[in-house]
Amino acid sequence: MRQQRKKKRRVPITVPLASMGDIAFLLIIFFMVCSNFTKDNVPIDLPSSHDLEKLAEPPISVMIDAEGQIYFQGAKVPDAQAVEWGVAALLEKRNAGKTDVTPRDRAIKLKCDKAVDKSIFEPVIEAIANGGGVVEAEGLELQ
Amino acid sequence: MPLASFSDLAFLLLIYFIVATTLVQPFGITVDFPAGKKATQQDEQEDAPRINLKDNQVFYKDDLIAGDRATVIDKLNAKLAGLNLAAMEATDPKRVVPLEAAGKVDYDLYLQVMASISAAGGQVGIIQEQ
Repeated sequence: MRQQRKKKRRVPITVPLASMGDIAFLLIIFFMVCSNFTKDNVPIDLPSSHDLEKLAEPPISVMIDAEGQIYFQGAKVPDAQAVEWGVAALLEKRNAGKTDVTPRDRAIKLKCDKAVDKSIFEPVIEAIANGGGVVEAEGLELQ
Repeated sequence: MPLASFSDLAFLLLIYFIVATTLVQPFGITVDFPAGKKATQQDEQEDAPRINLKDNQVFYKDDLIAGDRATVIDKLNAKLAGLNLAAMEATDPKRVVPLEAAGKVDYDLYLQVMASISAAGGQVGIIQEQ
């Protein structure tokens, strides 16, 4: 007698996909909140050196591009004097009410193209120092 | 209403933000320039270290350091290491190494010299060209 095998009814397995969209949106919100939209969209060829260390990102930035144009917080400025005023004003605003101002609180990021002459960058460095800032000069690490 | 495309859009945006996020940490040096008074005191000392940059050449105590860029920086590092600047007090005026640039000097060389001084434990003091 032939055994009648009972055919097992295959139950379709469904994977609930609705939560995948929720997870994706949560991750998107996480990356959007964590992203820093910097104003560093100026093309600059940085210099390189063996003696550099990792820097944390200070919020105030000064940039000099290959043509010698100076940018303060992403906006063009005419000369180094404007950088000094801007640095002094921003540092005063940022450190107002602080009793112990550390060099980290006065950090100013400087990105300068490696081919810029000293007649352009030296006044900017002096302006940052005169404005009370600590220069964090950015470069590429030489391997 | 088909909702499957919502998750596709979500993943596309997610991939965009993952790719566009900058995870590279910048490298550089931190230089807290001294006030003018310290630099003046340093100039008055005998045998004070002094670095001059002129037309992209490096002079240490008025002696030219010859060679290609890497050799010049290595020789400068050796000279600065001999000064034992890192062992000095943080407020010691002898830690200030005056740096003067004249003629045509690129920022590339300037940063490398500043990085050498900082790595040796010294403090960079800019001398303004009169």
